[in-house]
Parts: sequence; structure tokens; C-alpha cells
Amino acid sequence: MMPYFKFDYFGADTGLVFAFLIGIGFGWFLERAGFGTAKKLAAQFYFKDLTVFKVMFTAIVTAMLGIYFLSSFGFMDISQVNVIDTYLLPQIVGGLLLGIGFVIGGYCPGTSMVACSTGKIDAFWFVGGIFLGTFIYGEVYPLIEGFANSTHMGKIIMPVYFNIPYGILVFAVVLMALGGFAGAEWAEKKFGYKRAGAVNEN
Amino acid sequence: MKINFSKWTINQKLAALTLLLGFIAIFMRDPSKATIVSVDTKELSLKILDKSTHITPEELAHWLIEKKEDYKLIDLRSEKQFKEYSIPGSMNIVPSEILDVKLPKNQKLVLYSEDNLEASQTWFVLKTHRYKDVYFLEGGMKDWKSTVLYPTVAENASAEEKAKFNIMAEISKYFGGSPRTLALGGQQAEIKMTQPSPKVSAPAPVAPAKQSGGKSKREGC
Repeated sequence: MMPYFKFDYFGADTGLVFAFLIGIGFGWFLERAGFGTAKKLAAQFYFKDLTVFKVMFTAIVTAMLGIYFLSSFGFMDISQVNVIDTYLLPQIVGGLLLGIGFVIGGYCPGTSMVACSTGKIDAFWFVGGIFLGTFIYGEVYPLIEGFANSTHMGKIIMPVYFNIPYGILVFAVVLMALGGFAGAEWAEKKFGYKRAGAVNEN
Repeated sequence: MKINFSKWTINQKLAALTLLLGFIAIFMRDPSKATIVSVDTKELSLKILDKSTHITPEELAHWLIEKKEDYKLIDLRSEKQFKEYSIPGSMNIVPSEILDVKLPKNQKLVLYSEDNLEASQTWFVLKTHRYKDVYFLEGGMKDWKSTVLYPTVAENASAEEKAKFNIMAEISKYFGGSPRTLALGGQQAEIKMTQPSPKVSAPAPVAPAKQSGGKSKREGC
């Protein structure tokens, strides 16, 4: 039964091998979806090209439906899936910081690695920035430790926290994604490269 | 009204399929309440033998001092006993209610009772309900008292034993206990269980902050 790692079908070492293989696949699809260029990634913040948004939501919905149906049919134990602890405030602040970096640099950590693999110079600078930032965070951590550990809410998940059935939540996320896709198409027509009269870059 | 599916783009077809699956999801069985219980009795009985599910009082003491938080400590004794004294950071659940409290399945659970009995029985109950990381305190509260709170050493103990005792004595003071040296002629085996319970003043129940660390399987992104 899945998740295989939790049920000790393989150990941490073999897990790394699988992680490597899945990582290669993940990177390949990101690159093929066009996530390897900062231009495309940054364009979504100006509603010119929402490919990133659409790919991400497709991935979220696919994974969600997959996990949900696999566990409903008993192929998977959803309760064993690791959930990262929630620290509400620090995570909001961290998310905003990441977003700012995303707009400025044109990459998120994962996509910067993808861009490195095709030799984008800006991506190498970006990765350098990641290491520098990580180092600085480590150095100032004692000063912000109190904040970094505040508003700890434990391992919470939405269906339990809000006490709504899993299925309803799944349906709501599907509706949200479909609405998002429709909205994204609309925004691309209105603001994007694809709008009527604009030069088709493809 | 007639809908011509062949005119739909691939995106529209996929969107329709997603919507359909999402709608079906509402009526599916809640996966967190799925009733498939597969108990590998062989695996369980092997676990009983190899002691890998035991936590010694010393180990637990170190976890508490290091403020590790990747586990939940559960006191299975009665409410009265719990109020008298409990290991810092523990929560009181009587065995009959253990399945009602909906303990998290992705977290390490450490059980203890007065001795080994209730803890090991409850361990089995949890195991059959697909709780993966369940451990119990070896010797229960009795051993916690005798090794952590009131460690003893004989007066004529070897240097090695004394060194070990000194470490335990430090740990004992941390938890508000009192280490003792037994007089030579005294009844060495006797450990007074009637000692007044220590006032838990030193370490307040572990504050729910701090990243968990250490032995747990590394995962996440």
C-alpha cells in the first residue's frame, strides 16, 4: 500500500534513487512547459502569459484527484502522508518574500535549477543568491528565532481544521482550478501576447 | 439540446473530465475513514521481540531536555494519577478513549502507563489501527521514577557506575527529582515509591515551538 516509503517498502537510500528519477522527470516537464526562461515566468505577474499558473493548477488538481481516488479505493493510506507543520505568520511572511524574489528574479528555486540545466546565465546568479540568502538566514536565525517559531499550529490539514468532508473540498478545489483556467484564458486575451492585433510570437 | 463532443478541444474535454471526477469525489468514501485494516501479525510479533518499539526512560529524558518535538507523549493512567504527577509535556488519555481522540498518524507516539501493561496493550490497539510510529516507555512510570527522578547508587559502586550515576543525577535534578546514594548496609534493591512527587517546576511542559529534529525520517521539501 502507498505511500511506499512510510510502509518501509524501501529505505532512505533507495528513496534517494527514486527521488532522483522523479526529480529528473519533474525537471524535464518543467523545462518542456517553458519554465526554464525567466521571461515566461515573470510574464504571469503581468497577466501576459499565464502558462505557469495553468501548469501548476493542472498539476495540483491531477495530484489531488489521484491521491483522493487512490486512497478511497484503498491503494493508499492518506493518513500516512507527511504534512509539514504550519507556522502561520512566519509562513505568510516567507511566502511574500519568496513572491517578491520570484517577480524580481524571474525564477522560483525549482525553476532556477531547470534554467541552469540549459545554461541560462541569470539562473546561475539566481542560484548563487539562494545560497547567499540561505547563509544569511542561518546567521540571523538566533535573532528571529522567536518569530520563526511563532503561531505554531502543528500538522493541520484543511478538511480536519475546518471540519468539512474531504470530497467537498476536492470538488471546491476543482471548481477553483477550472474557474482559474477560464480567468487565465480571459486575462491572456485581454492583456497577453495573444490578444487580437498583437504580433503572434509563436 | 444536443452537445457535439467531437467539436470540443482537448482542453475542454480534460476540463469536463476533471469536473466530473471532482463531482464524484463528493460521494466517495472519506479516505481518512477508510476501513481497510491490514494487520501483518508476523511483522507485529517480530516487533515485540526486537524491542525496537521500546523507549527507555533515559532516552525519553534526553528527548525532553533536547526539547525534541517530533513525538507526542501520552499518559495512559487515570486522571487522578496524571494530576498528581506526569512526565512534562504529556497528555492524559485513558486507554478506552485512545481511538476517539483521533491522534495524528503521521507523528511518533510514545505511550506510558504505571508499568508496562496498559501501554503495551494500547500499543497493540493502535498498531491494528494503522498507527505506524508507536512506542512505549519501558517500565512505565515506575521505571521513570526509579531511573530518572530518583536514581540511586551504592556507596561501594565502581568509578564507572558512579560516573554514570552523576550524569543521571544531573538529569534527575532537571526534572525536579532527587538522586541518592545508598548506604552500604542498606537494602539496595528497595526503591521508595512513596516519595513525594516532585513539583514540576523546572521545565514547563514543552512549549510548542522549535523545529523538531533528530531521529525522525527526513522528508518534506
